[in-house]
Amino acid sequence: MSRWGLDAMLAVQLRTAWRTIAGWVLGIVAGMVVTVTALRGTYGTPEEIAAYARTVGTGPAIRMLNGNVAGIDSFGGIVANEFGFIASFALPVMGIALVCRLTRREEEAGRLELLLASPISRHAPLTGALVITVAAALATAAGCAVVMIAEGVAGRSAVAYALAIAALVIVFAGLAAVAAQVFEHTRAAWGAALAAAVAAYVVRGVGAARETPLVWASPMGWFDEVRAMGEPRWWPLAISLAAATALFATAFALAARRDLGSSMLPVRRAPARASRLLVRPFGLAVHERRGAIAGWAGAAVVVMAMYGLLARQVVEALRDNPTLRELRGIGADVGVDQALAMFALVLAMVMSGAAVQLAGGWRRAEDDGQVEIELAGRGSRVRWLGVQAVVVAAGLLVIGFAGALSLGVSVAVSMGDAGIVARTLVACAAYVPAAAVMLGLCVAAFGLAPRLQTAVWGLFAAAVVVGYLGPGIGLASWVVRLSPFAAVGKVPSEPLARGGAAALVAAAVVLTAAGIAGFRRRDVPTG
Amino acid sequence: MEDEGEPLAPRDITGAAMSDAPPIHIDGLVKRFGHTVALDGLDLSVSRGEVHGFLGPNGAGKSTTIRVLLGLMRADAGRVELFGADPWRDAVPLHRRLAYVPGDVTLWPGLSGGQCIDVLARAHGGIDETRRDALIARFALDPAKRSRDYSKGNRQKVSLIAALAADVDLLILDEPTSGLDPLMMEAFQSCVRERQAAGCTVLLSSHILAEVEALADRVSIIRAGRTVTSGSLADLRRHTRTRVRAVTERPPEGLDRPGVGDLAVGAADGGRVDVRLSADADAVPAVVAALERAGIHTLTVTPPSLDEVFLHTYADGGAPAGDAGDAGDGA
Repeated sequence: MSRWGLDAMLAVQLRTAWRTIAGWVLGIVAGMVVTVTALRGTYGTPEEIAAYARTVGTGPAIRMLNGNVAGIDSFGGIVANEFGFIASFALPVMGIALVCRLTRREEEAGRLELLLASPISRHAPLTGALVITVAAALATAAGCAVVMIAEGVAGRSAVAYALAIAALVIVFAGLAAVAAQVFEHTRAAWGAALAAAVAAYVVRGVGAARETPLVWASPMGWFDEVRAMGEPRWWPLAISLAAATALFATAFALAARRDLGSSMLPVRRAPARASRLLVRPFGLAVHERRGAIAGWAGAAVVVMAMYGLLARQVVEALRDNPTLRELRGIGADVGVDQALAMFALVLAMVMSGAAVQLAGGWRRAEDDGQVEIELAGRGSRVRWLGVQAVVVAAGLLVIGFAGALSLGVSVAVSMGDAGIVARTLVACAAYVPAAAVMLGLCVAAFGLAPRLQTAVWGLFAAAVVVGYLGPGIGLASWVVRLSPFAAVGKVPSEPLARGGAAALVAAAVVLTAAGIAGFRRRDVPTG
Repeated sequence: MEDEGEPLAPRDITGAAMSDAPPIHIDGLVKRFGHTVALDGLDLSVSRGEVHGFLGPNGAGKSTTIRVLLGLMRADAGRVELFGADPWRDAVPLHRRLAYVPGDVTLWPGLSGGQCIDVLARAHGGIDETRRDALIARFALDPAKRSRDYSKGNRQKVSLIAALAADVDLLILDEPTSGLDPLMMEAFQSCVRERQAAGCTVLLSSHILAEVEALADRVSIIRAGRTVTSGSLADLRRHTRTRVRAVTERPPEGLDRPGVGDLAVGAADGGRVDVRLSADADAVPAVVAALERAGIHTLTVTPPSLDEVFLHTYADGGAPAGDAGDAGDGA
């Protein structure tokens, strides 16, 4: 081991990234704790469980969103179904985040150059990332298994489900490992791997909704086909393992062949002169964020189209399932508006996630010294941060509009009613204040407490959990209303909560102003 | 070179074979980035125990050459040997014997300078702790400060301390003093001399000529990916002219000879003669003798500075130096 410097490499990786690693493991286990304890309260009796199975278990819409969950007539099955939404996104992102963080990011920053000039093999960074990610995936699995067993899920099922969790993380880690060899920049590697995750989600969703073998084309299908909560089968785990092995082998082969700092894809040449727009602060800010904005808009279009095309089935599922309505806090009078409210909420979450991610770029620019250079010019700090905030805000509107249009058209197709398009756009607009608050939080963090900027992700996650699961898990309604996503009300099935929306807008304005004021006073760069 | 007896596996690079081979030997190295030719038949030879200056304008390919030597990049053609072994294939065992300081040091922003040194030391498999502490004092580094709060010079110091404290046979330094103040450059120079006295070979890439002049035994000058010239500083100086200025009692005779140029004779105060000229190294003795015969009042002989050698070499080369372009410097 030490012959290749792997122990030294692991020591460096653990020492510099342990917070990220621990954050992912604890975050996902915490998600499981919240899900399991909440469901334990709602589905305490066999009758309640049977009711859930009868109604939710048969709906293609829910299968589309959460996959085809086996053993839905057990408490474990309900857990798997409700955790399925988190699992579908958080687990792939965990694998991608850890591998990108440990490999391409360090290479791009130039830190690997220093380390690889030591007696550390060029395979060590990737090997270390593999070891750490697998260990983190297994730790997450162990934590989830303990939580499930403690709350009464059968041991065999809990272990199978936990192993499937680990396998899903590892497959996407392998995918990210390949992306990290193919692309020179961390951002591009992230983007490619995330796009693959979204594609895998769509493929699994379509396959599960129609109950076709298409699910086998997606790693998330392999996850479901373990059928942990039904009669667990172990062999789909072997498919995940084989895929991960093949992906990592590919990554190692590519890494062995290339120069440090290079990529398999050549870096494109760029214009030698800046355009008239680019030399202005606004143009520069647009240039820096446009790729990410386009990526988020694309993802919003795909995900919203997928939801929208299932509108009819969702409406039917909601109509037939009082427990599901209770879980989502929906009244008995079900129409397309109830489904639209659910979808619009998801779009608001996408916009808010985009806000946090796009605003994270400011902090990176500060770390890289770009902010200093720009502030050394003629523009003031207020103007700089103001322009940045406006560009991100405009980007959020683009993302929101793209998603809303995609949703409206697809719902209209599914329901056979063209009038829905306009109603969808209006409904989605009601959720803009929620995203605005998230952006305000980012500005405030950047200006007042730049070291805490990444903590906004935690607030985002909390708002999502409270806003999405809150009504179902019996949180007091005032707690639920604290989530920006719930504060505007369930538009369009309920009228816009004017007070809530106004409060959100006011909060966004105050936070932004406070952030800009703080930015005027603070040191640049603040380490 | 002392072989500490540690295993140099996995490949058979025996201590004996490695000790006899020159630390660095490059013959006709070619490296392309797409259509850009960054290195175009570069030669470089560094013998044991010398400090070798590696000079060239921006984008000439210095950093690319060093990355090939470190096995971070792969040569497209040519022979590259580090202690007689292949730097790509045998990267790990070779790296036990060398330490590297990059031109642009990036550290882990959340760690302190002292922690960064320890991380690098750990990666290297250990450094001389006493020397580490002495170097921290010598470079006046605050090791408890987070590295994101360091200036460029301080980041450079972290990397220098880690490299200089390692017990190695070869130091590869890529513009190591960029960002250091003159006092610290002084400290750096004495440290390098100490390492050299301890038997260490040094490859010093730089375009600070005074530094190379102060440290280097031999230099190689490269340009657009090729070696333009290589040799001792004395050798290089022979190719450029020494400037001579004298005030003599009488008009000198016999100065109009091969090897003498820019001759200007004028009047000086007190009926004396002001003489200015430039001379090839070979012609200097004859010029001084002729001035002596004319009765020297004052005499200034200025040897060519390395700057002049440098400018002379660059200006005489073939194609414009920009060709190797960004690829050479940035990749």
